[in-house]
Amino acid sequence: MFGVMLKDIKNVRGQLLYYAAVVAVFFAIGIILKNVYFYMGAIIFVAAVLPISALAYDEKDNWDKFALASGVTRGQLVIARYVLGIVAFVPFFGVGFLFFVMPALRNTETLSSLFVFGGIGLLAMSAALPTAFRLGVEKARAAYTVILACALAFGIGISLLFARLGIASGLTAASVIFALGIVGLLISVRISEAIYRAKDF
Amino acid sequence: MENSVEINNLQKRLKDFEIKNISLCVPRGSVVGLIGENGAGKSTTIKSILELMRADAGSIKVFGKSASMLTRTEKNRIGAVLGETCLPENFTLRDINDVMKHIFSNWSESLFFGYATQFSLPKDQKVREFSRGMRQKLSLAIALSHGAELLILDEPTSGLDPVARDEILDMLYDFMQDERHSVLISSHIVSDLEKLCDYIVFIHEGAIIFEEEKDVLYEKYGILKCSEQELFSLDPSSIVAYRRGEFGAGALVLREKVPANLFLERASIEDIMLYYLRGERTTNTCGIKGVRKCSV
Repeated sequence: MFGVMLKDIKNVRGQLLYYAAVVAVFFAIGIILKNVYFYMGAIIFVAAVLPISALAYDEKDNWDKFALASGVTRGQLVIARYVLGIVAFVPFFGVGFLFFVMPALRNTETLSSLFVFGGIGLLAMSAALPTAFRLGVEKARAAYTVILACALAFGIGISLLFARLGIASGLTAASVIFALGIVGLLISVRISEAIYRAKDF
Repeated sequence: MENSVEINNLQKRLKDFEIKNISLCVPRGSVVGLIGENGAGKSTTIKSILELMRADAGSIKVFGKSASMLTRTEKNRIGAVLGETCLPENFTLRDINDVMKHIFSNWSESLFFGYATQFSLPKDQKVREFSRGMRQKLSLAIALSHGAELLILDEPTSGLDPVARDEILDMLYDFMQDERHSVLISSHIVSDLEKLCDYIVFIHEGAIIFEEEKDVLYEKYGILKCSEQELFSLDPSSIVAYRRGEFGAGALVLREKVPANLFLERASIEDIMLYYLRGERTTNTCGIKGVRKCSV
């Protein structure tokens, strides 16, 4: 699987640098405005876009045919794309905690925002990748805006629901959303594997 | 004889096409050529062996083991060249080498760059700048650089000029110098297969028409050129198919069934294929089902 990942990273290295620069700009804006939302919004986008870009290259190059004929399993091909998404997401998500170091933003609202948006990012990735595996990258890209809107609505809706019902504090609700993102990702891997198992190349 | 590939009653239904009970084998140490028109089922058969497609029914064994159960190491003993290049177009040979090191357990960097030099493939140019011939050579270089014992080649010479085709065939001759090696190759350029193959499998509309040793085909069939009157005076069971021409008729006949005094031209594989596909049949025409059986 390392070979597949290396191929993905070599393929998307240009975009990776581009998105890193975009995220850095949003980070700077967030620092200047003392607002975490700009930055977290940007990383939600990047998390799913990078593996989808890798898939787009593979579709164009017919890479999966070669990989499968060379002993790479369908499961490894699927997981490699998720790992790429996570590899892109985790460092950016980790950098988000630097906002919490700033005295003006060292509060539970910042921490909650990081977890809510982190969870939404994972949920967006969980929905986008099976869509891309099932429908192809072109259609998945078209659907991505809707997926992102749905993931945002879901995450924010859950937070508001928890707040209104007074079930849990903001931070607990945010943690629940983040946990849902992780669970969603695990379910999503299973769905993508099932899609790929049934696919003819 | 041990078989590198053994297919029994393979069935696969696609949207507007079907593979019907295909059975064939690739004995170890031999070259088997799959011939047939475009869309006859050659690529579907190859994709099924490589597990790129799931068969609806039937069994496929590679190196004596179910193709779906092959481990990574076992699958690495297969070198595949598919119809398209199937390699990242943004990559240079160095990038490809870096990735293949981790895909194939027996990857040989020196062999790969050796083939690249032999094929005059530029090391720093991206694959997307390669011509079709260069891409096919690159695919073959990869297939030959990880210790493969079985090459599965789908139209490796398609769209190439005669010189490039000849170079690729030379590489395959070299590969076959090791008696443990086997090749399954599909092509609609029958002359290429004629030079290389020990066995010919003819597929038409998803079914095998014949599977035969190449030399047996030459012994079995001949081309008779004569008048239509002479042709129809023959035993109909001796005529496989015939074609009417301006100056008489030509027929693919069974040598053993025509009188010894008739002059028969040698039937090339292409002749056999063309007569079968485009020739007319007599009412009592003979079948040309092959007789070779897989030895398990």
